[in-house]
Amino acid sequence: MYNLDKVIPGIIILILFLTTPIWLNLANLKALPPKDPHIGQARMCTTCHVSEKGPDEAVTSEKCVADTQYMRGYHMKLLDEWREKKIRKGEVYYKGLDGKSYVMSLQRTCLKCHSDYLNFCDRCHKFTGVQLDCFNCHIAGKEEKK
Amino acid sequence: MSVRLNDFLFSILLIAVLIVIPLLGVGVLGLKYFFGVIIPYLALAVFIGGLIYRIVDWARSPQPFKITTTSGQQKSLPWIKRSRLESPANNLEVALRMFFEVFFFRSLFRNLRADLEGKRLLYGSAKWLWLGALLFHLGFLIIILRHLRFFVFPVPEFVNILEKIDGFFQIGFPTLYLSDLLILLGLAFLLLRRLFDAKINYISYASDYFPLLLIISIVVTGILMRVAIKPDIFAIKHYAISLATFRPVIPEAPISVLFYVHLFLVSSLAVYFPFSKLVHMVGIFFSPTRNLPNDNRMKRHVNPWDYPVKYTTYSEWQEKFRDVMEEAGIPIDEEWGKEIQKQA
Ligand code: HEM
Repeated sequence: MYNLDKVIPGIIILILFLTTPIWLNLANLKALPPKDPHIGQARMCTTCHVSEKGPDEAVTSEKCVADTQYMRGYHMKLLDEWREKKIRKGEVYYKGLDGKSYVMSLQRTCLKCHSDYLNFCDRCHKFTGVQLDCFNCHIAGKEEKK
Repeated sequence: MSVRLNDFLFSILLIAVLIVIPLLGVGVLGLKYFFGVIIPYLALAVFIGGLIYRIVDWARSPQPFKITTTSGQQKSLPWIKRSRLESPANNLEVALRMFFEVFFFRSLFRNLRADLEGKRLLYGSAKWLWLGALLFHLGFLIIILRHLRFFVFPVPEFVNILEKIDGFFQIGFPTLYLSDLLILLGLAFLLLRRLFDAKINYISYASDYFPLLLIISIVVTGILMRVAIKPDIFAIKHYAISLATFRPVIPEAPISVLFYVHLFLVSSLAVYFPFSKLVHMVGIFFSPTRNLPNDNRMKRHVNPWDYPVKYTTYSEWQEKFRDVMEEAGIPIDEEWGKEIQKQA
């Protein structure tokens, strides 16, 4: 082979670049959070949610405005919809899953139960790198971020 | 002039097959481990192995001549102004030129178009190709860097910053990434150019359409996930990290089949990459027209193919035919005659 003095460093740089995720993770192997964001959190949730199978089972969602599966994927859409309806159209109530009406308010409805920013929102958001700016204005509840 | 469509349609068919495979494989047969672990690992191995194979292959090819492409005054007398980038005289200048080429596509900026006006051939400036190519490549780079948020824990700060800048205008919800918009614009231009510009259409083959369409479908499935399908990102991140740390686990939480389509298309791209025109990513560094300094008049370039050739010098020839030459009255060069006697 020719020009080995340039080709070998080139190959090494290429491999380092392509394997970025592998070596960036090496330092933090132990620090990974648990697989299920709800483990360890169930006790707190059961103060609002009713679970038939005991505290460590996935909570049923009788007290939230929508079911857990939906909320996990689409809570941001719901919040967006609420903002639209309340701020721009002046509506006040949202008809929830259980047929009850809820006041469309982040602080007065959602945060009533989900008041622990660090152990609720941040658990997933920090892990997945989804940045949110809700709490640039709203008050985040008891353990306010920074 | 009619448009050549066969290669385009064939590529569409290939893409459709590549989408149906994971749809059936995961959606119907439930082969999550196969599509989530085996295929991506294989693809990564073929990708890296293939690139190294190509690099070694190129590095083994000798370079008989220096054939630097230049478009500026080369280094000569000190009072003649020279162009360092257009006619690099040493390795540093080569590296600089390469840098601008790789990051800003400097040579594409010189792209010309040629049109017939009646019988006259007219050349004009054509920056669209440069712009489209740059949008596409930079968009791709930014998206890949942003994707590190799936693979690395904790998410590196530069990824968060990149994400903020990319979503700076907060258009729509979830926020539109500018890189997504720009890559789609770039890709659309590059594709339409091949379809509707007769001169380009004429030289476009499946190997041109297929990579474009493949990348378009990767981007579209990605955007679909983000704006509509909303797969479980938490589960996906656990899975992606498990891949990156070589402890692969398929999460129990259900993950949308669209994610597996996205992943399978990316794996296909990785496998296709080293053996197609896409390998210009590393090929650019092995282009003799770009990676050599234009120093022909300063340093002798020895062709590595050179081997000791058996040849006859004039004096040897003269010695051999001396008698005949003298007989015929052809003048003998005595200086050379002495030379050969000295050597002997
Ligand atoms: C060639 C490589 C890839 C390209 C070009 C690509 C492209 C995209 C694009 C354009 C999006 C739209 C949102 C955004 O820009 O972030 C996206 C989303 C996504 N991609 Fe990829 N992708 C690639 C590889 C991967 C891989 C290997 C994974 C495996 C973890 C992956 C997982 C995802 C997920 C989960 C989303 C949804 C993000 C969300 O909902 O916020 N992508 N991709």
